[in-house]
Amino acid sequence: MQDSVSPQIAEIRARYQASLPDKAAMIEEHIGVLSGGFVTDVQIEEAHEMLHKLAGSAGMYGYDNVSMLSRSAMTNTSQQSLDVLLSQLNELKALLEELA
Amino acid sequence: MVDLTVQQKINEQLFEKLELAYFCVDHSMIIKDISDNLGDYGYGALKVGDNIEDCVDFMVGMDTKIELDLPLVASPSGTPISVSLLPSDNQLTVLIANASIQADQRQLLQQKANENELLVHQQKKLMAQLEQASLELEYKNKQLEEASRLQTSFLSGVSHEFRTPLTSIIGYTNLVKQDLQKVSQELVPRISRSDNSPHYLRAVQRSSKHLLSLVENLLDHGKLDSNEIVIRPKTTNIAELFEDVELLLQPLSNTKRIELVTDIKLPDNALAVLDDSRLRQCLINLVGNAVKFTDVGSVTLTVSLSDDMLVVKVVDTGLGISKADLEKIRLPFWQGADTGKAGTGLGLTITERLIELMGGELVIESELGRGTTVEFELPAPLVYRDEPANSLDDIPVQPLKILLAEDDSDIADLVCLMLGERGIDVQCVENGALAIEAVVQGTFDLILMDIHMPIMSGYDALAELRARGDNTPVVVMSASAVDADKAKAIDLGCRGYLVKPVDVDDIIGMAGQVIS
Repeated sequence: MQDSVSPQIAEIRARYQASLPDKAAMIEEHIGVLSGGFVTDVQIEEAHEMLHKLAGSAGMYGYDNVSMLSRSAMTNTSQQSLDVLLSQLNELKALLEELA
Repeated sequence: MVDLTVQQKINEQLFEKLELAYFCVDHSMIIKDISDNLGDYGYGALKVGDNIEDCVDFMVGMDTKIELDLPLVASPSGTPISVSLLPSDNQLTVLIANASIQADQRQLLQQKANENELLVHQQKKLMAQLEQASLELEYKNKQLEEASRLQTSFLSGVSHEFRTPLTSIIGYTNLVKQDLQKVSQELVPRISRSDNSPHYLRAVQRSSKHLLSLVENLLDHGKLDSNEIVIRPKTTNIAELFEDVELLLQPLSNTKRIELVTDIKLPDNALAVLDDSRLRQCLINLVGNAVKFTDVGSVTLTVSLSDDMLVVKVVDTGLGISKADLEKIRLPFWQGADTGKAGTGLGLTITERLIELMGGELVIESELGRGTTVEFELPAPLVYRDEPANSLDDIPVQPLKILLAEDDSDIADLVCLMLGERGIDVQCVENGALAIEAVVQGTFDLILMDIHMPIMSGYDALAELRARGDNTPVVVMSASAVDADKAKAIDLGCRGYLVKPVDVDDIIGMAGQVIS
């Protein structure tokens, strides 16, 4: 990331920063779905997709910790590691809320 | 005409020379006449009036009216004989000659034939054995290749799995450290002076970083093994690069109380085209190794430029390497038996391969107890600011046109803006199908393609572009660092693979490489 950025990039970064609460809310929705008892593979795949996107975009906007945690959570998107996934999603949500 | 007496003499001499014997029988097989020397062949008991069939085996059932030659017959004396049957009106003359020479020759021929046959047999047997050995070797080679592939794949897989949580540990440790600093600033009086948390955190960070570097080495080794590492030259301030390396390694040399001397003979702000990231990796490894294996004295890093070649020399006054070990140090996973230094034994192997990939050669000279000198030269063409540079952002003549297929608007907007600020014309679409449509309607220098997109994925779009015979270079930009995803994209014809998050310089560097 460049230190001196153009107003356009500063604006787009601000927009991303402003979207962090929405992203935290989106994670909360996934947490709700995945905590509901019977969880389908499709629901897990949707969580994976969401994390995949977050890992890419957050890193590009300089939120390395969000990117790293998303990437880490991606490795736990399976029926066998739902508990770990839920715990990481909660961490991610808290981190996004803290950064927002 | 020859006199009859002379003729008879000749006959007698001939008979004698050829050791001829004979007997004559009538048509009833009764012996009428015999020569005196028949006993030489074991027929001494024959006498006139005997029935020949009772005395001589080869005459049993013989037709007395037919001329016949029996070339080799065993006689009762054991001497091989040749027999000629010469019929006339009232008798049959049987000539017997010594055939030892012919028998010997025949035996010799037979022996040679047998030997030849044996040789042919042995040759066939050897050929079969050779063929079998060759097949076994081929099979074993395949097994070894497969084992090597599995080993590389296992190491890469495990390393990937390690890397993700490790980066997480390092990231969180940083956060905890920051929090701790905040808390200590705010609550100084309440924090005990004997609180060891910062010290423990530093230890966790140090260990995690060490572990991460080992994992990175394993990953690099796997990538080098499968030719996945790509050199990405770009315009680099080389003096800055060497100063960075010095700054990075200075604390380590200070800790060990050895002197780190740098002699950087480079023009001020010299820009050269090289892969700064890989060169940095090599320098950190070589200078780091020198510091690691030197307990007293100094490590000297000398750098100079000559005819667009960067000359780097690292000299240490450390332990040195024995002649026998000099041959082994380049082997992967090899570590000096008694040095007691930690590591994977991969650093030098990786460095040497990277230097080769960058067009150089690593030369190591050392003597046990007298230190080590490591030297290499790399092509590093200088770039002058007022000249056209080999960097895409310095070529405003014909703006590059890039198609970006990315469904995440956060990423698409940022990449479009950043590339736009570098004078690159970017068209953005939201999925693979729209990318195909854009390629049909316009011409692009490069396509940046995400993989996970709705309607049509990046994989399907790559396949479709290939099926249409479109040659626009495609660089995949994905958050997935999984080897299988990358391999699939490369199989489908992508020319480069960038793992998100990516920096605009990464994109431009990759674009320059792919387009050139």
